[in-house]
Amino acid sequence: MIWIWQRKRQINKSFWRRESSYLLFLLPALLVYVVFSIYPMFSSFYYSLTNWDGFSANVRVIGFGNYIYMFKDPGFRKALSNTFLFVLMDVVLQNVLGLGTALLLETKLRGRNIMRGLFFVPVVLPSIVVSYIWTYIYGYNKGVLNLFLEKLHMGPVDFIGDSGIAIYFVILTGIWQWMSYRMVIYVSGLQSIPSDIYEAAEIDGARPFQKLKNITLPMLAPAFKINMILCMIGALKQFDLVYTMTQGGPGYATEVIATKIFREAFDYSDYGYGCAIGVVLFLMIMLITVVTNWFFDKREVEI
Amino acid sequence: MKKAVAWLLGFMMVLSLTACGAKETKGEAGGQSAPDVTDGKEASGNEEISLSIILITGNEFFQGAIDDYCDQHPNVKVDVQIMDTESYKTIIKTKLASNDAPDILPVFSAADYFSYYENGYLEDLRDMTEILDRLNEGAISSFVADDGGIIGIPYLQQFLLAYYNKDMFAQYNLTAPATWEELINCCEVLKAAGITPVVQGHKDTWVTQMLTYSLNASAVQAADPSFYEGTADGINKFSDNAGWLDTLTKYDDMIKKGYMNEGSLGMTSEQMYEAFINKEAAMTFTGTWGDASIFALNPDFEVGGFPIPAEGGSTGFAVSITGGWGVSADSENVEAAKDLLAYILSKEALETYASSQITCFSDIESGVSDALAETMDAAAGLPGYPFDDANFASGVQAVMFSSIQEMIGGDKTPVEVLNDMDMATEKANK
Repeated sequence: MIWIWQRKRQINKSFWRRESSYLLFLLPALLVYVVFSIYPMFSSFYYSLTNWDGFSANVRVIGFGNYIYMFKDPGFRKALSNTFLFVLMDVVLQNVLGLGTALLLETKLRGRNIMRGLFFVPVVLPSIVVSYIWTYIYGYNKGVLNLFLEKLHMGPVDFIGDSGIAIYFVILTGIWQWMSYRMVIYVSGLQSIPSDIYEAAEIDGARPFQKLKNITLPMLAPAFKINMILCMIGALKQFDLVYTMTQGGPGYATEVIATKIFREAFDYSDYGYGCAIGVVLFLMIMLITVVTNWFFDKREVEI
Repeated sequence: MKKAVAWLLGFMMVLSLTACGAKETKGEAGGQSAPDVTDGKEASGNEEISLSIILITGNEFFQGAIDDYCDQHPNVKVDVQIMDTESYKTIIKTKLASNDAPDILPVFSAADYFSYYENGYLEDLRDMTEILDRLNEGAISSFVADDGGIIGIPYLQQFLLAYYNKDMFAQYNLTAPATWEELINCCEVLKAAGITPVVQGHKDTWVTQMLTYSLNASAVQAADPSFYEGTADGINKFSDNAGWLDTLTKYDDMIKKGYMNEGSLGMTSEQMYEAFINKEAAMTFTGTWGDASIFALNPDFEVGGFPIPAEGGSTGFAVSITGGWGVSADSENVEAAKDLLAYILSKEALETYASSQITCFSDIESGVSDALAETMDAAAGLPGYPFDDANFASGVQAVMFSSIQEMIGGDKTPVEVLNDMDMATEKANK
């Protein structure tokens, strides 16, 4: 018995002797991670249980009051439905358009390298610039789109001022901005497919559509997965475009979860409620990521 | 040996990190902690002092006074940031909570700012008697906290008005309206002539207050002076107030009858001023700060002004001393900050740089624009009432902005807007 114990101690001792310097080098990174990620996460959860206004010294714990209020808050429901609209349109359109352009640019198109670069420009632009450009394009008064409609003798449309349609045009702007990012991932996915598979298929007499359906798409599964997850997370966290283009308005027409959090915490001085929504957003993103991962892992093809 | 060095390096890394994360403790509530003795020395000495200040858009004229101060005090460096009111109101909360507030900051006479003071973020400016004594009588009243502390020093008077294109009015034989009925008549005549009567840029949420508070001065504040006494606590409800309902109904009517520009929810306030200057509309509802934007665009027509009138003639005028300067209690150079503040509000500096403003100081003669002078003449004798939001609970104003936007978009009725404001009051008091 004593022998075992001593043996164990020896192992432990040698483990620390061997690994201590490595662990030490991990420490700074770990500490940064704890201070800037883990700690804020847990403190957000704590504040979500309080009525804190964001600046005062007295913080009163009110239990799950903020979470209960969330269910009764029509503003939260609106933000939630807008966010899901964002996710749906982003996931479908960004991927369809991204894959479409990727396939197009993989053919022997003239000037495709230049086009790849041009398509990528919106991704490089800061969101604030994108939003200014598009606010100008959508403008009711002498906006580019409305000048164009005028030429066609169609009435001016208040693209981002009309509460019924504003959200769609904000989403479209986001799709314009990020579509080519999806494209780049698909392009690299396409390039990693070995050409001998296609050659073998051609020998077997496969038609182009069959090649697409039976080779390209299954082989692109990893690219699909990463694009889906990034797209969903991006759409769920959407803040910058909405805030700079419409600030969630007019009214609450383009409110998404992230702008709702901001509005509650900073405009309404209800930091606790803002944190509660933040916690729910975090859980939603985690759940969706896990489910998507699991879904695609089952369907991935290994060579 | 190597190991010892590795440990040491690691330890130092950890130490440097924890140093960054260290949190300063906050001063006592009320911000009345006595300033360090060194502060006083620094203010007059030759040590390098850097101060920061935030200017609200439209108040850029203070830059000149700040530059002069720096010329006289070569050891003082002032970092000036300029931002619009709404951005400022949002940003300042985080800045205060993270000890990152500028030394001199705009302070408004609203619930949030008294709360900042009570939580020790703002300095009590009671001792700046030299400046305070020069203020117009009563001007300081809306900046006094419950404990008698002064949270900010007001410097400008603002009021709400309609700017109008005098040439256009003359062309259709119209004069500045003195009653709501006359205003509606003006709108009717202009609209019949194919001119947009009023241009508003409702994309900037603050614009929703212009017509609202103008009418409320008579309909709510003059009609029922006790109404606001219990509003912030939720005792008096917005939805029970006939004046508020009347005001919002009039607003709604103006939109429905097409007296305001189409697409106003997609238009910013800057575009609104541009549209007015480009003669796309005959009037625009805004406040005194509109002067800076309108005259910077060099209108080639005569610009007039009038107080937006109530039904049967106004009984109140929305005039407000809402903006003032405060000093951050977290400032490392409180005395230096106060010294700079005293300079930019001095008679000398205001006379040089704020001559076209309506200041709150009794010793400054204001040479205002014709449009403002015309408005002041028309409002002469009317009792002034502060902008309504000075009486709201925290967050109610922001809710009002969005709900009026929804009303303008046709998604809400005036009653629903008032219900939203009641709900927001309830939430603030939970």
